[in-house]
Amino acid sequence: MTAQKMMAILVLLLVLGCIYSLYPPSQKLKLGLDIRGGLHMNLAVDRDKMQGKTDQEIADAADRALEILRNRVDGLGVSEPVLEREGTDGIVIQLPGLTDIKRAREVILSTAQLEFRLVSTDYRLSDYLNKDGKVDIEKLPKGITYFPGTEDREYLCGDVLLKGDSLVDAQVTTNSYGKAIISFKLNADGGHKFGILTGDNIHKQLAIILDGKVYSAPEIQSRIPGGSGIIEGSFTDEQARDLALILRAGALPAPLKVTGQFQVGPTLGADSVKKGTWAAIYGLILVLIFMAVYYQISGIIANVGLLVNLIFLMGCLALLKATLTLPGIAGIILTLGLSVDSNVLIFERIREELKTGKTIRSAIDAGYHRALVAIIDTHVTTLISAAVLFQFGTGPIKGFAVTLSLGVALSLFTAVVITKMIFDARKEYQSLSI
Amino acid sequence: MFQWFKEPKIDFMKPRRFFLGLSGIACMAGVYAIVLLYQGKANLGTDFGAGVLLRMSSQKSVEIDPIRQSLKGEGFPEAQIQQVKDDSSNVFKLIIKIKHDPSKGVGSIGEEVLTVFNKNFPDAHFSMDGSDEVGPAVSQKLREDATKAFMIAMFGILVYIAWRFDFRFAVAAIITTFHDILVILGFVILTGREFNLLQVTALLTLAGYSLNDTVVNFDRIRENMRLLLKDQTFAGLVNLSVNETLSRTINTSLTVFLTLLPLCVLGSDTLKDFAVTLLAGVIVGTYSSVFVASPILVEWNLLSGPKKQS
Repeated sequence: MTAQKMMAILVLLLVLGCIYSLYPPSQKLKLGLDIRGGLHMNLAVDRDKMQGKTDQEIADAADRALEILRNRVDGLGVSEPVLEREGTDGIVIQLPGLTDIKRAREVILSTAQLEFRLVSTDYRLSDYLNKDGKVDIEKLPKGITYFPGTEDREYLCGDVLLKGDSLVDAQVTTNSYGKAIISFKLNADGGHKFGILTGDNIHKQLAIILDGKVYSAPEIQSRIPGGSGIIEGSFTDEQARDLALILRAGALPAPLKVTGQFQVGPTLGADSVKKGTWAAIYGLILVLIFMAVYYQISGIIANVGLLVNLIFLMGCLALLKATLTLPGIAGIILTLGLSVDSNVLIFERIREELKTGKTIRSAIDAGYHRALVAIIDTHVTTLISAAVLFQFGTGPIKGFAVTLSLGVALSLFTAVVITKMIFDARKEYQSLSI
Repeated sequence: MFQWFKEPKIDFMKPRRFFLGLSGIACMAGVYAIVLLYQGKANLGTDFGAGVLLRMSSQKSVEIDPIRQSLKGEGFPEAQIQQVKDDSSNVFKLIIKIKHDPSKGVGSIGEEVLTVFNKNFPDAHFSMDGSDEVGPAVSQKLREDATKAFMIAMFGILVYIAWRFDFRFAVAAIITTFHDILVILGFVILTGREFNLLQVTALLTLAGYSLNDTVVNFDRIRENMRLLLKDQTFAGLVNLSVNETLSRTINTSLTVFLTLLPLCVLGSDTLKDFAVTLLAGVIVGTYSSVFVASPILVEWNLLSGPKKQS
């Protein structure tokens, strides 16, 4: 078998391989957030609330926060979440396929500061109201703090007696009425303190406070020795599950603030992809028709190269598990136009060589040979831009840089080598349709 | 053999001063656009100007004015509201842009606006298709990254030009590339289109692409110079070269034009803007190879006085 035939078979195998790796496309192609839908959040440690901390301390806090958030996000049921650190104080979270933004924000942003305090019996709320009927914080005596509760309740509480860092577990169960409640377990030291706290304060109300809100304030019936208890409040099943999740994962070591948030709903992404794909198909058809009409049979050969380019490009995306984004689709469309440019340069050169009286065979060879320099030049400049865009671009734009550079690089092979192979299949030409 | 022109003999160099002047004015537009950018008067996307972009849709159409009033009343006095025309479905779609309010947190504005809408227009059942909420720290970083990317890409391209071409060709190529970028930047900013990261991407891609055409022309000019055509003025030689590569120039641009055209018509709004900018860039890039790059070579040659071709 000649080298030519071997090459041809190799190319055919590659094409089949790419087609195989692409089926079914919705599973084999990794899709970006702008296509799949989901949530992208940029968070940063809130430096305003962390005055006087060094950069290293802030970075450490962000590192710990990342791990805690990872545990929390695990419980949201998102497949392939991405959590990364960014810079000194930043965290990036990507949750593909997430639809309930509100719930995700609550789970992520909750600082989960758990406190146990006693509801004050010595001081009454009604003594400290100002003209609007709201509690006047300034007037409160020392050691007493105001907390809002669930269902518009309000409380005055004493000092912190126990904090959430003693918590080792929190699980959702149901009480005798079938309502969701959270049962928690404290560590040995916390359990000991809890026993003393409950033993000394029977018949007083124990306020269980999470992130500055009283979720439950049951009356202490007896001393609780085992370091476990329940939080009974008016939560839905889902709220209880999320709360238990947050408690288990632990409190955030520093308050975080959102610096950027990007959300794409599922219909928006699907709609944009549909439009983009049709635009690509129509664009491809227009180019195929143009090449066939202007350069006739040679144009059709160029079209074969173009189609192979497209198949190779999509195959590479699937095999490299590169993320396809909406601008990435634009990159594919641009590749289609650019790769066939190489053939235009070659064919125009062949036409010129034919005019100088060369044989058809040598005109073809000369055309390919002479056009090659210009073709490589055009690829270099496009690749420079694509490389910079990949380095500095955000996710969607990286997707564009990837499809454009892959497509353009592959076109060197498909537009030049493969089409030459097809031309070389015939040794002698009586005439050339170009 | 199908050809646009059999043996073109168009005199492109004769009107060159007119076109150079025209290009100069277009560049001024680009410079003005940069000034507007710095003054913050350009239409910036959330990438570069902190703020919120919401895409909402509803089952029933609602008049824009009542929407604006309801937003004004709830603390969003400067919301920009735009209806998105979508031929493929009957759903009423809106795009709402709100500038960043430092007193409000990032990320919760979408929820707030949705609540306002459902309170004031309950029958419409508004829902959020997508939202971008960007705080000042992130938009500043994106601005810095975009500027860095632009400078590095331009530097890379300049290095490439310097390595590839002789001095006067290099200068002509550089001026042509900057011309293309300025003109397209002027087009985007002065027509009020949204300027965001994707537009910067289009500009950078263009910068690389417009050079392709110029390279093809210059290669032919150099080839013809080597052939030492005796009874040709330099202008004549350049003109001949441009004519010889005319089909090439037209067709390479036409293929890219044809592939991008459907995206300009059918694409979703951000992709559509992207494609239109690229398309404009292809047209300007083609124009500039013939009417900017080559004339600069001719003028340079005239300025350096009659010399033996080297």
